[in-house]
Amino acid sequence: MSGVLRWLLRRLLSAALVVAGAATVAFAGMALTPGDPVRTLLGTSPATPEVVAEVRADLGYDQPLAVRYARFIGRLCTGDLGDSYQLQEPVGQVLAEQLGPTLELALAGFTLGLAGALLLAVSTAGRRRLPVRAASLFELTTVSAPGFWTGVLLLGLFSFQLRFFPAAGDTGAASLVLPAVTMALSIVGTFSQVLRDAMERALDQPFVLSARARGTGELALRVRHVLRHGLLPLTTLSGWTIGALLSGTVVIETVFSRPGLGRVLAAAITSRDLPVVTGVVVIAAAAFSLLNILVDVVYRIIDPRLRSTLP
Amino acid sequence: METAEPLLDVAGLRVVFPGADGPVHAVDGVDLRLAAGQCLAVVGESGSGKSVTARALLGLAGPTATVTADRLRVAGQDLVNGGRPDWRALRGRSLGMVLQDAMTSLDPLRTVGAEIAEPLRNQWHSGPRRLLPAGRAVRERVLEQLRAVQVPEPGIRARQYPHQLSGGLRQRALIAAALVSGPPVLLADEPTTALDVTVQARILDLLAAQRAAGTAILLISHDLAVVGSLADRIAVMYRGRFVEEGPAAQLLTDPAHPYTRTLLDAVPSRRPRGARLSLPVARTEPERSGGCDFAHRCPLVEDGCRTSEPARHEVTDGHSALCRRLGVPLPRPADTAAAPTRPVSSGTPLLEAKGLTKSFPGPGHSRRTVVRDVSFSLYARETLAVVGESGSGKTTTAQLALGLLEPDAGWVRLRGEPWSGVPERTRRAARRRLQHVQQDPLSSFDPRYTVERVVAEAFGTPDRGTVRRQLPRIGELLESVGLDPALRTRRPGELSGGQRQRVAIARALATDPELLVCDEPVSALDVSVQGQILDLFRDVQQRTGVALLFISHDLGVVGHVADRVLVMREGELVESGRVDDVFGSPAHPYTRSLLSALPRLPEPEPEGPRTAPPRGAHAR
Ligand SMILES: Nc1ncnc2c1ncn2[C@@H]1O[C@H](COP(=O)(O)OP(=O)(O)OP(=O)(O)O)[C@@H](O)[C@H]1O
Ligand code: SF4
Ligand SMILES: [Mg+2]
Repeated sequence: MSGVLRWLLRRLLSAALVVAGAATVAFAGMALTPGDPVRTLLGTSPATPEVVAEVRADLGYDQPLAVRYARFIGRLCTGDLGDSYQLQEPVGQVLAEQLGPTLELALAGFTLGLAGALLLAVSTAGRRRLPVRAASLFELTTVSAPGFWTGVLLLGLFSFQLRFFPAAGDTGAASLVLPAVTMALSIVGTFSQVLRDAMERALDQPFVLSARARGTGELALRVRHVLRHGLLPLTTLSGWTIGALLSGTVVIETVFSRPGLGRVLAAAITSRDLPVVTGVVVIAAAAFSLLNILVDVVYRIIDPRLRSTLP
Repeated sequence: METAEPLLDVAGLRVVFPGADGPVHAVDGVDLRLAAGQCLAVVGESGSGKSVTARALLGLAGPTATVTADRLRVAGQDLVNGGRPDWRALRGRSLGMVLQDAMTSLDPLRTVGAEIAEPLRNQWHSGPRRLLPAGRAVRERVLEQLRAVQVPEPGIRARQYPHQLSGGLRQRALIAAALVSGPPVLLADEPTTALDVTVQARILDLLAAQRAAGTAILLISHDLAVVGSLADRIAVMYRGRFVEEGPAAQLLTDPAHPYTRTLLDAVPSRRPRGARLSLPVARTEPERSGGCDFAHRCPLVEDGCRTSEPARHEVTDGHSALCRRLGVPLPRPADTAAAPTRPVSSGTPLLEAKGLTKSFPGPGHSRRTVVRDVSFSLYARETLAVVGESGSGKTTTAQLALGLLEPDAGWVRLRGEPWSGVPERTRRAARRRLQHVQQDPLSSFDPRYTVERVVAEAFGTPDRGTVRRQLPRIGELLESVGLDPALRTRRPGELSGGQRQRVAIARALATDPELLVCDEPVSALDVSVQGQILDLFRDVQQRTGVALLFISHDLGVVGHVADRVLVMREGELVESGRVDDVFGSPAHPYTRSLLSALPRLPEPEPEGPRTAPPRGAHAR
């Protein structure tokens, strides 16, 4: 199937462009914000002008912007993200260490959120009674509640009051529960609203009446027929989802003092640690692009009508 | 015949929906009985309550519906007095249902096989009574059923998705799904509508075989000819009631109720060519008022009809009708010109096409030739029909004629001037001489426009200024197509199908065209509305002398309206000539197969006083 291969190649190429674009934006953002990275790097320790100049030359900051950018992109192409100013370690190594806990959090939060949304939507779609109203209220609350607020609330209740779960750190499964729930709560409302909306639209279609006329029960109807129709718009929401997960990790890792990319990013921004910031941005952009390719494939699995359009 | 207990036994079935202006009595006291191996057909115009009746039997009339009945017994189960009916056990197992729209009644995301297996899986889940081993046995049963409904290559088809099947195959798959658990009763709602004649004939054969095998069939259709070939008994539904019911042959040859008679008179294939099909219609439906519901449309109406409801009268044994004036002869639609003058096909043709060929890109780098070497000419005042199955290139031919597509080879001339192969700038001035009427007028209207703006579009810009300037002309056009000018402020969504088609014709006539290209203009309409629209075409043609290029898959309609006919198959012209010659003695085998697939109604009894006065007609 050379068609599929060609399609994949095209998608990977555009993914590379997205990553390069994101890196450029990160570079520009850091270059244009006021403040001198060399000064920040040296911190409060007294430094002679000679030392400052030496460090500046070391980091390439004596060169014009265009040259710095060209060098930056060049190194990026070879996979070299540079060294962290703060940690004095290669950025690649720093990020690799932190990637695990973040992936764990994002995956757990996403799975939990999706499962919750499926449960909510399947049990309430097309039914006009109290449960629907209760579910809507819950969704509205979670959609409008900021992540750090939910996190602090859960922390207060389950860690400090009930002492069910540890309050901070990454010490095994128990310490993942509260952060994952916080993350799930930030996406479950939107997910279940979109799902229910699409499922209710599908419930009005003639094929549903047809299935009912075959003796299909309401639950089977929702699981066998309508759910898939609900999943379609959910996959088109993937961009929002990935964004929500990324920004979620920053907030949640900070609130729960968990290790992870989000916390490293937050710290790097305040300390103007350019290589780390761009490194995180590059990784996020790559994840975003690859997940989007995956979503495209999933979309075709769900909707057979699109399979023939895969070139 | 009525010895065994009927499988369906219904009395006083009523379905009421809440509506914006009071309750809608969609089904209003229906009685029906159906025994094994029998077929009862329900016919009637759109909105008469046919589908709601069938859905109510399955408990699927809808969440807002209020369903009541004096008696409702299905396959020996009493659904009125037996406590809360277990509808789910009934559906699929006692009653199989084929819903109205084959194109959308299969889940597009599931394979055809999974859909057909569904009733089996439902049974399997709902109790150990008939534990079916999942998997293999189900798959075997599905393939067997697909074979039973004559689906070729069942193994492949079962794994395909609905969008990969043609309309006829989808309909078969739906029938297979309805029959797979072996229900004794099949409810088939418009199973052949929107299918080509040959496919339609095969589906009807399939249903006939089922009936012969002992299945009781409730067949719903608005097409009397379809019903006539299959039904033992026919019930004619009008505004929620069976206004006439009787043995099929008798009802079709000797209808008693005025509504049935107007319906039959509207069937084009039963009437001489050019004869009127419809009686003048009231422009608005009146409210229910205690009298006969049909009074506002009835040619036999008398004062008593408006004040008291007609009782059910026996015509003969087992043939009854809801009318107080049975046996009074019905005036036939008056013919303004009994023998329409034949158009003269000589001189310069209005439109001439020679060797038209058109292909479109197909899968990969291939090209699919849709129209191949088609030639014809069309003269003023003449109606030329193009017939053929779907996919035979009819619409592409129409678009080539309209200059909407450029032919790959061949040419089109309009009044001797080149029409194809010239820049659009040259064509624009002459565009107003050709107009287009489509199958589904709703899709060609902007849903936000009012009727007057839709018509004003034909004068150029549909802004309010144009509407104001052209108001008298717009009113005139609406009058000329039999529409109340008061409708001009309505939006397309608020019109019936017949009214929308009239608006489309009014718009097409706005520029005084010499040629109307009509692409399936009546195939979305029920028979009475179809009759009105066909009459309208004829009136317009006689008044203005416009030529018609009339595309249709319905040979009955074509035989009625056309002077000459082109028969197309897979893009090629297989036969052409005068309608009488082609339909009378078809030369090409394909034309013969089309004609033999056409369901036909028995010839009507000659009009005149009935031999015996109907019994019971004077009962009250
Ligand atoms: N769910 C519903 N809510 C309200 N009114 C309804 C509903 N379903 C049907 N109706 C109304 O009931 C009447 C009968 O509709 P039905 O679909 O049975 O007509 P039909 O005879 O099957 O027409 P067609 O030939 O167009 O299929 C119509 O006036 C329709 O508007
Ligand atoms: S009762 Fe009167 S109005 Fe009604 S169908 Fe009979 S003749 Fe016509
Ligand atoms: Mg219907």
